[in-house]
Amino acid sequence: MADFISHYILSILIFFPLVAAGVIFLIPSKETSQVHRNIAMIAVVVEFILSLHLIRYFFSGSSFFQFAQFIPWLPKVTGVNYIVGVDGLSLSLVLLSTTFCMFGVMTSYTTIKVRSKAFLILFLMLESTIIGVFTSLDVVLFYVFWEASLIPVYFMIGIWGGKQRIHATLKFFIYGVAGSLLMLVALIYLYYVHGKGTGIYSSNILDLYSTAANLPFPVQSWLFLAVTLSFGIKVPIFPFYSWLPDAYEQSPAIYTIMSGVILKLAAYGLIRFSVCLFPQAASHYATAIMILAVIGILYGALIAWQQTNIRRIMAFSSLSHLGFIVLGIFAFNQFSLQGALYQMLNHAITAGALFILFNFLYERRKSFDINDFGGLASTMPWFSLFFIIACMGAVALPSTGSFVGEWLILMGAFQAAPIIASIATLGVILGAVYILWIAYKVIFGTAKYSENVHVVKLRNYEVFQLVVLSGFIFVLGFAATPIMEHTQTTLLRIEKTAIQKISYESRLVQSVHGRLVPIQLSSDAAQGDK
Amino acid sequence: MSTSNFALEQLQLSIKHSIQARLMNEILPHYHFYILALPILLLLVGALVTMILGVFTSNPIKPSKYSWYVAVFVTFIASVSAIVSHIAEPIAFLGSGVLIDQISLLSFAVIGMGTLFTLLAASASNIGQHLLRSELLSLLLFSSAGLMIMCAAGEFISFFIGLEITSVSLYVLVGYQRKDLRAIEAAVKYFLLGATAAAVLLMGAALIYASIGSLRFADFHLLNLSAKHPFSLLGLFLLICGLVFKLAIAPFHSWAPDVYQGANSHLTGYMAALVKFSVAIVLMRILSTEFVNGTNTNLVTLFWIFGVLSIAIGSLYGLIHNSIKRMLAYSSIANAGYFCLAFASLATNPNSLAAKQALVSYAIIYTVLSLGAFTVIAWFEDTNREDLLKEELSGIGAKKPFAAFALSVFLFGFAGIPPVAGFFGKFFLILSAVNEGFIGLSIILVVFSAVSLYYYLSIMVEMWFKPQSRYSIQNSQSVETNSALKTLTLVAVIAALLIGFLGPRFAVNLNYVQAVEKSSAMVKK
Repeated sequence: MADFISHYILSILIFFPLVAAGVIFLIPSKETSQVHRNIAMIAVVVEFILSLHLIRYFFSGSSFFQFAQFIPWLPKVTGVNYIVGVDGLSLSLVLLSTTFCMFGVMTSYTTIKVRSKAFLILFLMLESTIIGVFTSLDVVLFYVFWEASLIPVYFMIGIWGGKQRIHATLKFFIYGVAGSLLMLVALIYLYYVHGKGTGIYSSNILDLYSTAANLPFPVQSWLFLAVTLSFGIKVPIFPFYSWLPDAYEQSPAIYTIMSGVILKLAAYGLIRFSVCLFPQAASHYATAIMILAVIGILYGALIAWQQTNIRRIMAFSSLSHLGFIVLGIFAFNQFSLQGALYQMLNHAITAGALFILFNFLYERRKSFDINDFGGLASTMPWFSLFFIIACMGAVALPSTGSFVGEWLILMGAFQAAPIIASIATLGVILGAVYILWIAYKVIFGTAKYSENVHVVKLRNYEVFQLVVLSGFIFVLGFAATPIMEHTQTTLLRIEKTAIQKISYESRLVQSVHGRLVPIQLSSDAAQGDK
Repeated sequence: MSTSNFALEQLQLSIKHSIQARLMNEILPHYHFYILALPILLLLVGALVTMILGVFTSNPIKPSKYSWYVAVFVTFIASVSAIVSHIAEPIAFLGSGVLIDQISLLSFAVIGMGTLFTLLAASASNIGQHLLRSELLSLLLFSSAGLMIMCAAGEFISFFIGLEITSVSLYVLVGYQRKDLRAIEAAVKYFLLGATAAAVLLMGAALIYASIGSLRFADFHLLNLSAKHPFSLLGLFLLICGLVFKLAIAPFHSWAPDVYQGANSHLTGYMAALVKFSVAIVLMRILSTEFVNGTNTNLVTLFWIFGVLSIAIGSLYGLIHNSIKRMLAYSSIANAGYFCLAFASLATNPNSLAAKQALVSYAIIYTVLSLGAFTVIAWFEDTNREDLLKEELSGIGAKKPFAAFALSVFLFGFAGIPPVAGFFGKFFLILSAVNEGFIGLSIILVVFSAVSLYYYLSIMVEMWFKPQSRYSIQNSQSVETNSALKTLTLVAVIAALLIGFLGPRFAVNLNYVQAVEKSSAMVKK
């Protein structure tokens, strides 16, 4: 039974939210959309429970793509197939997405007041595309999910966003598509080179890994730059960040909670595609990208310090934190990669928690200006407790998960590039400066405004979300080993690929009676026939 | 004496026999022809019948129900017969006049279904009712028959006949609103430029005939396209220029915005979809011949320039316009530019399967998207004035969510965003271009499609993100009551999404072997 579920689990995870969206679509909307919300809630909870199956049956000692599934998609000659699978890299990210989608739907109960049916449909579509991006192992399939994930966000910001939403959403969409179209050309070129070289067209990423790594360096570097630009815009890496503050400032509350996960799509892409496909070019450009990452870290932190709008502070803080992740990815060793992956989880959690708190404040005061708050510590002690925990998580205080992540990243980066890493260390200090500055402005000080005096309780679901997230902040701080065990073998292999500049090797496997067995690819079978 | 007489008689007799044999075996069509070319014949007969029915109507301005029944019936039968007819191997009839191969059958099916879609959609909307007069229906059927003849043509004369039947019908159809100045302007512009294009086309054909003595597409391989043979080169250039005029490829695009804007929206959809589809098929047939070795560079350069100009002009000019139909016209110019990727690849390597697949899949996808998009436009225009401005769509998403949703799907399709069909169209086009090494052209395509994305998105911004204003279209029906248009749009949406999810299988699995005339050795090499 477990094997049976394992076989289909990823497809179920991808398509179940779509089915739920279809159900919601078919139920006519009434005055209140309570039914729709309840269905969506049930769907995301079921989705989360299903995703737990991955943890239960994941073999942590293997770097192969587990739970793999292969279904022919386009006609056979094109070699474009539906291939999904998870390895240590994507496993935790899939779980992270299902968890945050749960929180997202919870928040929709109170924050989305108009056209909630449409919102929930878009939200479930978003969940499905996010999981699709993390699990697809066919470049065409990946690209389809990657682009499709822009559509729900475009409408979410455009319809439910703030006053300047149209500008923000257009910028978001066009930045995203402009980058990814270049990636499309690069991937098609790769697909073509593979087809020409081997005589069999295939867009299976495992096939492309071997082709891409053996390309001549100039070609590899062009392709690497195209792919990295596309992900770099969405991460964002330093000069391409300008869509982010606008998108954050104008987006609806739910998107901000999810944003931690959505930015990770691109960070994941950097590892899976930029680094693993083009190890030679990646190591050639690593220093340049690390420098950009460090500029992002410092610049983001400094700008965040100067902002007064909470959402913009969060945007620049994300730029800064994602800088650490990029630094970790391009330092190419096991520690830094481990740290980068760990930090991906931490950033999503702390940013999510902070956004939940800020959205709560915004609902009360309709303001994102930090000068409008102050003295909340005395009026809302529980709120302040969670706030401080989330802030400490963001500052990377020892005993929080971010500390482990940043420490690993910096340790790895020191081995790769001591000077760059020491400059990056400044970012840790600057990060503390602006976060503590916000905490000071919002929580402490005197209550200047009478609106801040009235005590408003946190809602039940908010307490739940915050307790879970605060719990995670500490759990990740103390119990890093179980998570790292799951990711270690995969990351070791990525390290090997990047350092030795050889092609990334992996296989698609499925568990059968407790053992991992490679799955039959029908294209391989055809090859055998010839 | 008598022996020589006898010999002469013998000779005359044998010549007579051979002529008879050739007439019976090769020139007069086998009865298969009437079955396989049934769609063309049906449409022609249907057109004549509707024309005669028009004589008996009392009020020629009013839509004629019976003619519409006849038109729908014949297009339905024509598409069904095109879909079910099956051929073991490609056959050529009437010399090379009508080639029946899988390409033709697919085109018959697409044109038949597209015409059927247009007829049904026109009957469902108020502005479309104007198109349902007997004589206009007859012209529409003639035009579709012409398109089918074009797609099946294996030589210039039958192609030109098809093209002219279509063009002349369309000139009249565009200008049927005699009192509307804009329509008249569109019709006159279309007619004058179209006639010039036809003249250019004929000049090209004449030069080609002068240099190789044949007008069969299959004989074009004798054309030597080097600068030393100016007649061949110029002839083919002129021929192609005449053809790309119909595709609205820059620099022959200037008619498109005016005509699209002036014509009835249903008709605009028909023109944007089916005429472009057919011309693309014809160009595919012409370009799949291998010209005399190694002299294709000129042709490739030509398509390179056409492609870049079209993509750039279509993407940039669309940004400054406010009229939805003008924007879509520029979008169609840009999309025609995307075709040039496949044309250029085909010109480089006439046997490139990837290029043919890309061309056919993109042509069909574009057909579906255009028909759908213009049907939604017609739906919006219904009970309002024609030629909508962008601002007039503000807040329509709340009022007509389904129509707005459908238009968004088609616009995402034009922009090539998955999971809508347009993505695979672009995917295969870029693949075919990369196959032949046109990486620069591919990058130009993607850069400008990001630019053109802006105006597609700006339409969606108006529909979904802006509240209703006093400029927005006033619709007496607050909900979507037009169930016929709703169904038709739904069909197009499903088609667009289905192709997007499953990929253009029809184009990949198609057999691209063209029919060849049996005794094609008329021209000595």
